[in-house]
Amino acid sequence: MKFCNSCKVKIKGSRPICPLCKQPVVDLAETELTKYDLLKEDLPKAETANADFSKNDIAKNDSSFDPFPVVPLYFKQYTLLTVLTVISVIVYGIMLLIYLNFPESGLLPRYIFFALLSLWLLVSAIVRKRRNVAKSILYQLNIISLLLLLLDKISNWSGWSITYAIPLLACVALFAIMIAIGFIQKEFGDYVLYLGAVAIVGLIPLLFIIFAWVDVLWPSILSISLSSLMLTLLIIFRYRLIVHELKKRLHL
Amino acid sequence: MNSNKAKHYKSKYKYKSKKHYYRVKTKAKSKVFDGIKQRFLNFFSYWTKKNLRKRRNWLDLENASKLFPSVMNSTDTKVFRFTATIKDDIDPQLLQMALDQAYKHFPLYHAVLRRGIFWYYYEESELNPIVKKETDYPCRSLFHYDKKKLLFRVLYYRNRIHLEVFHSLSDGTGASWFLQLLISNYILLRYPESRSQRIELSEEFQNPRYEFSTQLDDSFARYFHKQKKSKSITDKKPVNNNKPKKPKWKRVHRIHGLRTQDNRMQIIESEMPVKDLLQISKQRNVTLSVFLTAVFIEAINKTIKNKNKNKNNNKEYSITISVPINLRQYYPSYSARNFFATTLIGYTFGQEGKKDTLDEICDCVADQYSTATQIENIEQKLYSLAKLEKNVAIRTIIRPVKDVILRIGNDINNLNITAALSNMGKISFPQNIEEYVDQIYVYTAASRPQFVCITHKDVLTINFSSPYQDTEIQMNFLRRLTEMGIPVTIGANEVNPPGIKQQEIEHEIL
Repeated sequence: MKFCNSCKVKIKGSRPICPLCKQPVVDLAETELTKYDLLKEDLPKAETANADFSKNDIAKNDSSFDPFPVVPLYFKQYTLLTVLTVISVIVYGIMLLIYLNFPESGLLPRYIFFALLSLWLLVSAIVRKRRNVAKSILYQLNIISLLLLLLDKISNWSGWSITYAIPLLACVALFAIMIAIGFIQKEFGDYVLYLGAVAIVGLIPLLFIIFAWVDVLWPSILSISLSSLMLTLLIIFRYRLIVHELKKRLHL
Repeated sequence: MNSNKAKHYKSKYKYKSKKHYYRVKTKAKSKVFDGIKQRFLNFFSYWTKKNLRKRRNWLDLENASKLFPSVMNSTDTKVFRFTATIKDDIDPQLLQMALDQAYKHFPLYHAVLRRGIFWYYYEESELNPIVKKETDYPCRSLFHYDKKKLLFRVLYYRNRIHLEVFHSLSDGTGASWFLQLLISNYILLRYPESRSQRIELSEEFQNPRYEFSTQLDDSFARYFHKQKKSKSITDKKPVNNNKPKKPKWKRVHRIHGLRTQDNRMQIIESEMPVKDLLQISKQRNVTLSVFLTAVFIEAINKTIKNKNKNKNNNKEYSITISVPINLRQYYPSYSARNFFATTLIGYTFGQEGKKDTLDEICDCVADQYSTATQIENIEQKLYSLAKLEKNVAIRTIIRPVKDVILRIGNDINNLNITAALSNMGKISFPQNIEEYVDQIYVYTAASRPQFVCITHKDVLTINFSSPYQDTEIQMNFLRRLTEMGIPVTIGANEVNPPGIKQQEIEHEIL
């Protein structure tokens, strides 16, 4: 127990300065014990489940104990973010330099930009959604599909992305999500909507066929049939769960 | 010795014969195979397991708590803390037992907060709370958007038990009921002699607050829903009293300062005999809340004047204090969820013909308290809030956008607020428990200097929390009280400690 002469307040703990006015404090006379200590001495010590513990700590309980533990300073470190930013800036700078000096090398800035964009999008999706594997897969499916579409676009459109890549990716995602949640063995309610969403994404190739954007049909048909099978099974066997989850998340 | 011998025997005579050797080996192989087989069986049975198909109950947030998850940040975490000091050091095992008991009686505290497309919602969980030793700074964030975490925690440090609650879950009154049960359980376990006295529980502890349905009651919806307007306890229109309905503030002063280094709260808890304070406020013919508000306003004003010593501007400016009003005193409710409204109390300095003494501030504040606590005036505001919540245009905005809108709205609202205070009133425990409990402290994470006061037995504790390192307001406030002859004891946490804590991997990477 200390005393601040300028603020005229008693101060708990062993701090050398007053927390209010930051002036040095004086020790309070030993005789002026706190109410806490007087009570403690008067009463017999009660039995505890953990006798050793109570003995040790009561012994340490003198009048000058601090009411709060001293917590060292704590700073958030954006390690991954910093590393990613630094890598991106350096890589982009070097590549740009190479391109400007040797334009015939074929390192087009748009590819570098694409590479860095995919790195950023994928890493942030994986990190942010790491706690729910189904959500993570749904996000990755969407991001990778869009990225592949973009890649196809910037490298002289030939349609490989919508013919093969996106439908097959949707099939893979459907299997991946089933395998992942089957082995994780947690409540299905957390995953069911994401599984449904992946299946719905798998139905998108239907548009490709309708608008005749694709010449080779089998990947799209595979994706559509697998997805519609999945959706049908979900609706037949987990209808109530789906309705419950939808109500919960969509309530107005 | 025997076991040694057995081991030796085993190692020497592990395989009786070649045949035995092969039999053992194939058994081991089949064990591995069994493991894999089991894995795959589990994998396929996942789709048929009934317990994994569980549909978890969920609950909508009520009017006041809808704001909290949207506007919280790493400084203003919207977490408040109750602290109870007990006679002896805390026994963690018994505290855990007490917590497990109390937890069973509060279904609301089983909830985790989750994000929906349009609103946040509570979902029931099967998590079990675990008491921990206090090693962190007070009122750290309790809600994480992607983790299923309980919205409260129980900590202990030496002879202190802390209960930290996310404001979205419950307000101070609701949390104090949980605290009362937790502390009572702990005392009964820790001091068996407290059980021997047979005492009549006072009415306060017999009310239906420990019943499940009353606890989860959404009192805002019950009393302020549009269609149920007839349920209103009064049909009167707001009383104007020939005064301007809202006192017009002049330039509202806002407190700025140097933040603490790692955004921790600066806590200063002070305790003093409540008798002395009541006496002083009685001399001035005002209530304790009015008196403390007036002293707080005066302390803030003194701080401003100290800072602007050299400047000589006689412009008028206002200091406004946001004060919560517990609605349970007007509307019968034992809901453990939020049920409060806030009002703004203020004083304009530099008006002509006024000397800005404490008495004048007291009069002005007392006037405003009496109008603000009139039920008609509160009701009006709450109906408009309920109407806003039910507005179709607002309801159909997706949550991320809503978050941004609420945050901006909250910031605009904050422009009118200098500081905040809250008087929790009196807290008590059953007779046989009371003698083992020393003081109760309450404070909250805040985006501006703020205090919460609570009375237990004969001691009033006034607990300041502030995101700034500066303590001049607190100093002026407490010095004013000590000048009046009130003995004050304070305790504070360290905001500039030596050393830096190592990064915990658990925390956010991005």
